[in-house]
Amino acid sequence: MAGETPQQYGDDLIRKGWWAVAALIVVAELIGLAVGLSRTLSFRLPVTLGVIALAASIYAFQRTPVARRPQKLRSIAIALMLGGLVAMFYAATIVRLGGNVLNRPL
Amino acid sequence: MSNVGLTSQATGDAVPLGGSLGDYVALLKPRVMSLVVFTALTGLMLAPGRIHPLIGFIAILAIAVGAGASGALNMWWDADIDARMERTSQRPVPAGRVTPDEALTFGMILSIGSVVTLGVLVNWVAACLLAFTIAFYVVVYTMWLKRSTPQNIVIGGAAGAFPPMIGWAAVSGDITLDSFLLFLIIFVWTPPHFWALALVKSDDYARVGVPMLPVVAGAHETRRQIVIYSALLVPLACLPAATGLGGVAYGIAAIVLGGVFMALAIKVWRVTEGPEATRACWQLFGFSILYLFLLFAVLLAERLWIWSA
Repeated sequence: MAGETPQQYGDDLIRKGWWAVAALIVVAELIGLAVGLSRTLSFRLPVTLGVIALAASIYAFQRTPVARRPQKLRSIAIALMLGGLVAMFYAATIVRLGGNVLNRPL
Repeated sequence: MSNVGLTSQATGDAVPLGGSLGDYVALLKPRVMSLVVFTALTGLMLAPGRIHPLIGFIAILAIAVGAGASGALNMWWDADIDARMERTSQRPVPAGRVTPDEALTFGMILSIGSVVTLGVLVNWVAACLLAFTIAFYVVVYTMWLKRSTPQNIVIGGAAGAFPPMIGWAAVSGDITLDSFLLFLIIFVWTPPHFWALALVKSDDYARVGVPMLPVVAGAHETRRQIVIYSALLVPLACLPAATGLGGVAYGIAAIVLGGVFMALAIKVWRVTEGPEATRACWQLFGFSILYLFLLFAVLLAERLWIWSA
């Protein structure tokens, strides 16, 4: 971070984070359209949860003291990756087994 | 951004906080990963059969993460020589931003995770190939060949050649002659590509005792080997046009690009002294990346053209 203070570094990451939220919504919608899942709850639910998680992460990062931000960022990245992994397995299960996996008596 | 994570700035203590997010991304060797993703995507698109776009995306993601994981394990094992080489001394482990244990743990988790994900969500043939590739790169190349033989890059190059085969297997679930042909092109491409760099950086390799061909056999022999491998590569790269994997456009591209590749290899062989020699090596190194990218891009474009028609 040559010529950059930790504060500027953090501000830059927060800016990038909000762009990531916007990009996630757009990309998810495009993928949803491409695979024909964009209207289904099984697709919309994990995407919505993902956007909420990302927004909450940015809020948590903003409230963290500057000196602790690298640690916080790592923790958030690990949490988001684990959440992403769960969402990925969820979506892949729906795709492999078909939409009928949800259409059963509870 | 990396030195933010070095010490506790609040207390001034020299207690390591571990690397920043950027350091962990650097452990994955993102530039190598980008070529792996592209060649794997080409294999996936060329394979006969269909794959759901989401499953295809997961396959590429798992291959990319597996390739990154092997990069992290490579940096863990090679930290001692990386620290003494100019080109690699600022990598996260030798620079002290990430501990070797952290790099090892990170690499192992990603390796196992990527293989299991590929197996469970795509198919186990592709997953086995990915596991073999990671093991080959880390154990056979990094731990064994790299420090023991000047043929390290020839045999070890197989690890970098597997991704299109894994992409292919993700769709078809098997290994065919066509996918083996894609493997062979990258396999034969690797020595001239890497030796062009090794010629320029041979002092670095000599200092740390890595027996690269220019260090062991000399610059003259390396230049001769570059020409030999280039002469093998150019006709080999034309073969997909003959087997039907590529079309007319690919055939033309392979001939034209191959001609340029051969000309640059001969230039490396003929110009042996002064800054012109170094420039010739950099030209071949740079063009070799473009060459492989364009060959696979044309294959990909032809396939997309066929689909759209």
